[in-house]
Parts: sequence; structure tokens; C-alpha cells
Amino acid sequence: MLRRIVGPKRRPDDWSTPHERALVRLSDRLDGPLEADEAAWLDEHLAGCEDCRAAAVAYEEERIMLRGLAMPEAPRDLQARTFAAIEAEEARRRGGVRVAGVPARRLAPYGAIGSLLIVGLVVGATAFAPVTNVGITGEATPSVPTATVGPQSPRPSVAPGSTPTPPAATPIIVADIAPVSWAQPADDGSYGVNLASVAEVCPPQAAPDCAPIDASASSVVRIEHAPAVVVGSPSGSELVVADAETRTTGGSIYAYNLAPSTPSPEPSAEPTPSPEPTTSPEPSGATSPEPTPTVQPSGAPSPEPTPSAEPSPEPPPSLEPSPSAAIARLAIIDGVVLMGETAAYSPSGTWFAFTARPSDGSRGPDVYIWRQGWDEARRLTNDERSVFAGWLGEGVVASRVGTETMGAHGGGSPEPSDAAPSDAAPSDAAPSGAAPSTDTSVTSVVIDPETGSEAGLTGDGIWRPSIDPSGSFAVYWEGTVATADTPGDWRPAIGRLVIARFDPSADPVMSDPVALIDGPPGVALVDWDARWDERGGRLALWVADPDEAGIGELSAYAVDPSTGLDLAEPLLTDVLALPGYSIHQGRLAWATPPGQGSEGSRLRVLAWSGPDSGTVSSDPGTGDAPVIVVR
Amino acid sequence: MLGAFPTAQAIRRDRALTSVPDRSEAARNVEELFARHHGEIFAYILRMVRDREVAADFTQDAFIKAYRAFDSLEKPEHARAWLYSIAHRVVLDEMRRRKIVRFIPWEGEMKGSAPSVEHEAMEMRLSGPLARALARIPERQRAALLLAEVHDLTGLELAAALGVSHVAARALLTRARESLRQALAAEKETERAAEAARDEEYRSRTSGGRAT
Repeated sequence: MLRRIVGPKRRPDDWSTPHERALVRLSDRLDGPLEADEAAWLDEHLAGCEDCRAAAVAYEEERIMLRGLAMPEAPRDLQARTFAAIEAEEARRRGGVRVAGVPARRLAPYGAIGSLLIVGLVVGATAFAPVTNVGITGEATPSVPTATVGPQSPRPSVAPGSTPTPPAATPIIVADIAPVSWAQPADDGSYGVNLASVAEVCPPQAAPDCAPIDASASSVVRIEHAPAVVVGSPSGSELVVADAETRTTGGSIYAYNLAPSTPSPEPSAEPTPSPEPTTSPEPSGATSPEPTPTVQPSGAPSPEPTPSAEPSPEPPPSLEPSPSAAIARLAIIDGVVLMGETAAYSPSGTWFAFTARPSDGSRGPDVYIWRQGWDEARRLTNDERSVFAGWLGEGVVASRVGTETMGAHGGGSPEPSDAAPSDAAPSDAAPSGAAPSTDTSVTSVVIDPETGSEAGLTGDGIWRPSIDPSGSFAVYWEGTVATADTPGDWRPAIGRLVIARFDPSADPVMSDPVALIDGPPGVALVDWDARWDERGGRLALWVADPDEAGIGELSAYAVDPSTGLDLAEPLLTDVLALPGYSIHQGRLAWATPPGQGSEGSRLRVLAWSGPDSGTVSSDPGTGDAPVIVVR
Repeated sequence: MLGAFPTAQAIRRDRALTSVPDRSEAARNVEELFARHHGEIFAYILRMVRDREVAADFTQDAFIKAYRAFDSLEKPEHARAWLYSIAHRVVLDEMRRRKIVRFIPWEGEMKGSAPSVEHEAMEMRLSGPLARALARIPERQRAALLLAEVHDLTGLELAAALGVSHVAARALLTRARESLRQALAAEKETERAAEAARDEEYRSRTSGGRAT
């Protein structure tokens, strides 16, 4: 209602009622004298309009009240700490090497403050000359590593005082980024997995001017059942699909072999995410100026695991529209509940690992692995209290709930847990008296999937470390966990989500942690999903909404091996996203929840190169069906 | 550019201990800007986020961002509006975040609950109804109103601080005034209803306890 009173495109003679005009003029009058004829009109109108006179009085009263507000005093230490922070930035710019993050202050809640970056991108976009770089429309030749995003845009240029006009969106051509793949329901109830290349993105807030992602892209494969999770192998030759029941009562997980043994007649030119130097089985120090320690679990797996069965280690990349080739589907496990969002292929694509528990409740959660050639997934851990955290090279990183404090008492928690959950904490996730909850210590190990041999990775109190491919950083929960409603469904209890330096040869292996999210008692961090791109230079973090299941917020950051994470200038900040996103080779793809602005779910892509980045979306889907991004 | 900041000498004297020979011009200038404007920037942010600790953190963030983006300040005389625009973005981003990510702890809230509007009212000597009414109106409108009425930003400054066109800023301000009027009216109505409910409850208790 209010919105209609004033619109930016209003013409002076375009008032739908004289009262609207009067309210606008009353407001204008407070900011400066009206033009004579308008002032005369207003006086005349007021004389005959009691409501408008009341508004005039109210506006004056508002002004008096607002101007009477006291001036609060800034804290005394504000100057010292701000100057110290600026000093720290100066030092860093002069070449100091340290883990980023402004010291001596809380960084945690402020992943959100990327304002200048956003302003910079929007305004800076106007500085883009017409893009002449060669864009790639999907027929990228593999292994061309130079991605180009427009000309170099030097500094963000904000012109204060002048009126920033929304720039015309100059699309940014991005080259050599991984194609995006997603599942969407078809008319017949099945799901089609689509594949599209993204060649053009637009600066944030100008996205409508970018051509939407072609949603009519060819379908790669059909899935008969509604999927909950779809994961593509690095080479694009396999898909693992967990059906929707794996999130509820128990369901099945399938592997689709998209590279049938019949060789493709012509060489595929599809830009699959594979031809990266970092797909070697071991953590590569490619982006690190100094040699990165090679990390392997003790009882090191052979660096080139040889699949027991037939498939060649490098099947032709075939995540491309294939004319109805016979696609082999294999149920690799049945009757399980898939837990968390961490399910993933190993960097080489040899292994697939996930956390599951039998849906009949007979066992707690364990880590399962599968590889091509196996009839079914196998349990890698056997303690009913392990979860899959991610990959360290070809080693499975698992986090395990400590045994010493299982039971009724949380004696092992490193911090007192006496504080009652705050009002703000949702009851279902906060450890309250009613839930079967136990604060419990945790540890993380690395397991060789070949042999099952296990080595300690961290000390106590490190849960679900997600380690970047260069082996330099890790994102993890530092603290204790507790179960909520479902036994075995471990959730963060007391502690904080951090990013830290990772060095397996050091003691402790994690150092200089910087908080991403603080979690004092009563705080409900329900779940998160931290993933790195292949080079380790980009980190994406999805954080579940504690109040609304199946929705969360996604952020993305650049991470420099020498200076660390710049939390203050994220690539992407807290956008609403469904669980399950994909970060590969130059782009981050996620799905917006259906129902935002009464729209259907959309696929969104953030692509970057150097300091520049931009986004592009698909047209919204129909109804409530979510877009499911292939991870 | 330094000449445009007349307090430079004074500031450097005050900070003799921390001065470093090769400090950049940006750092020096932003620190001078801090000395001149941090009070009002802090006040604006506090009025928006209603938590002293958070406001202090955001003020710090805003000045760090100002330092990083100092090159984008074209004319020294625009510095104040430029600082407000940075502070405004910091605040809006965070408000948006707070709507969804409620588990983010605020230091002031560690012991349990969010700072009440009443607490804020005491802090800023706001009347209860005004504080609640301000809390009710959309953030951008609240920002426009505070910047215009309390922080005295005029036309183009307001537009620059809000990051919108001049016309849009005025429209926002008009909407804000009307929203606040309605919110104040609603506050009064709520108070009346609460009063009536208390009276009703009192009556039902004293007349035998069959509360409806």
C-alpha cells in the first residue's frame, strides 16, 4: 500500500490521489521549500483535508523526536583497535605473511561485510571496455588454463556526492570454467540431469541483463526417482545419486556410469572439469609458493590406486549429451539414511565416500566408500560414530565422536555447558534438557581407503575438517558435538567454526584459527558444508538455517596461500541456497530455494577470474520443485 | 590531499607512539577521517543495529573498508558522505544476514537474549514507542530517516550515502516518514490494547478467576 505512494518514475502530474501528492509534498517540504505553485496547492489541499493536516503534524513531531535523540558515545578503545587493524592491513600490504584476518577482534559474524567489493563491482563494471576477449561457448579446448574476465578493472571507483547510476551491465566473458550440471524434474515425473556451459556472467545486481543459463540444455541422463543428492565424478564419467528417501525414511544410492564401454567415435570437446593439473591423487602445491607438505595417512595408499575391475583410469569424459547410450545404473547401497552434505568423490575420482546409517536404526553412522568395479558400497569405519569429513589427497578424512563421554554426562567437554540455551536458539537444535543430547569430544583421523589403515590426523576437538587441495588450510568445527533428536545425528554443540592453517607435520596440525562462526552455549549451528575448488584458491561455505530445514546461506571467499583468507571481502555473501552446491574450476553453482519472491527454484552461477567475478542465473523453475545442483 | 584534513598535525601528535615512517597516505588520511567522524558514524550504526558491541565492530569494519578503498574517494569534501555510504553498506549487509542467520552470536547477547528495545531506548534516550516504531520500519527507510533527520545529510549526500539516486533517496525518505507515522500509531494502538488486556485480566482475577 505504502509502496504505491511514491515511485521513482512518478511524474509530477501522475498522482493517483491528491492525498498521495499531499504526503509527498509534506515530506518534501521538510527538506526544503516547495515551488510556489506546489506550495499553494498543498496549502489549499490541507485546508480541506483533516487527515493530511494530521500527517503534517505527525511529520513535524517525528522530526522533533528524531532530532532530540541523544548522541551515544563511542567506546574508548575504538580508536586504538581500529588503528591497530589498519596497521595490520598496512603490514600485510607491505608483504608480511600471516594468516589473514584482522587480529584482536571478532571476525566471526561478519562474513557479511563485503560491501565495498559489491559496490566496486557494480561501479567498476562501467569501466569495462567492450569485451573483446575470446569467449568460449562451451566448446572449450581442455587444458587451456588462461581464463579471461574482461579487461583488468583496476580500482573500484565510487564517486561520493555524485549520484551513482546503475551501470548498464557489461557481460563478463568467462572462459575455461567448468560447465554446470543440475537435475530438474521433467513432465513425466522423472528427473533430467542437464549440462550447460557458462560463457558470460554479469556483475552482481546486473544479472537480469545477462542472458539466462540455457535451461533447455541437453539432458545427460534421466533419473527415475526424485533425487536428494547428485554428485558427479571429477572426470564427468560417473554420477552418484541418492534418492529423496535417503533423507527421510531410508533409501538407495545409485551410481550411473555415463561412460559406457563403447568408445566414443569422435573425441569429445566438452569442457569437463577434469584437465586440471590438480587432479593428481596427491595434494598439489600448485598454488603455493613454497612446497606444500605432501600429506598421506600412514600406511600410505599407493599413489595410483588401480581399480580392481576393468575401467580405464581415464574414461573418456562423457558428461555430455550422449544419444541415449545405454547408461548403467547400479544401486550401491539400499536402506540407508544419508547424513550431512559431505558426500564426495576423491580428487582423482577413484573413490566415492559418504556418511550413512541403516534406516532401521540398527547401527549408528559410519563412513562408506565405493569405487567403480565394486558391486556395493563398503563400510570403511565400524564404530557407529564416524562421519566423513572430506578428502586429503586420496585419504578419507573422518571425524569421530569420542567414546569417553558417551552416555548421560558430558564430562569431556572442554568448556562449561551450564549456560542455558538462549531464547534465540531454536529448540530442536539447541541442546536442551529434553533432547537426548550429550556434549562430546571429537577427533579426526585419516583413513586409507585401499587398506583401511588409519592414522590420527588431529588432536581432540576438531570435527569435520575440510582441507583444501593444496593442503594448507582447513575449515572445521573446533569444540564439542551433541546429538539432537536423532541418535547419531551429531551436531556442533560448544565451540566455533574456524578456518586455520593446516600443516600435518606440525604439532598441532592446525594453527592460527580464525572464527567463521562462533558457537557459544545455546547456539544452534545445525550443519555446514565447506568445499574448496581444485586449486584451493576459493572456498565456499554453506551454512544451514537453524530454523528452516533444507535451506541455508552460501558464501564464497578467496584464499591466498601466503596471506590466507580475506573474510572481509567475500566473493559471495550469505545468499539463500539449497544444500548441495558445486565449486569447480572457476565457478560456483548453487540453487535458490523455490518460493523466493514467489519464484521457482533457480540455478545460479558465480564465475570468477582474477579479481573479477559475476553471476548468471537460469530462468526460475516451475512450482515447488527444487533445482538440484550436481556437486 | 593531506592538506584537506586540517587536523592531521594534531592527530599525528596524539599518535606519536604508533607512527610508522612508511605508512601509506591512505592510512594516515583514514585515521584523520576517523578522528573527525567516528563518533557520528558509530552513532548511526548503533541506531541501526542497536547493540553497542556490534556497532563498535561495524564502525571499525567501516573504517578498514574506507582504508582499503581510499583511492575511490575522489574529493576530500565528499569524505563524510562517502564514510556514511560505507557504514550504510556494512549495516545493511549485516541486517540482511541477521534475518536469516539467527544463531550468530552477538556479544551483548551471550547471556541469553537480544538487547531489548527498552535497553536500547535507555541507551539512546529514545522513548519506548519511538524506539519500537523505528525498529518496525524497513531498514532502508530507517536509514534514510536517521541520515536525513539525525545526521543532517542533505540531498546529494543522502543519495550517495544510501547508494541510490537523488530521486530515489527522496522517495525513500517520504516513505520512511509515512511508515514511521503509521508505526507510531500502531505502537499507540498496541499499548492501548495491552492496557485493556491487563485491565481485563485484573477484572477476571478479582471476580473469581474465570479468565477467558
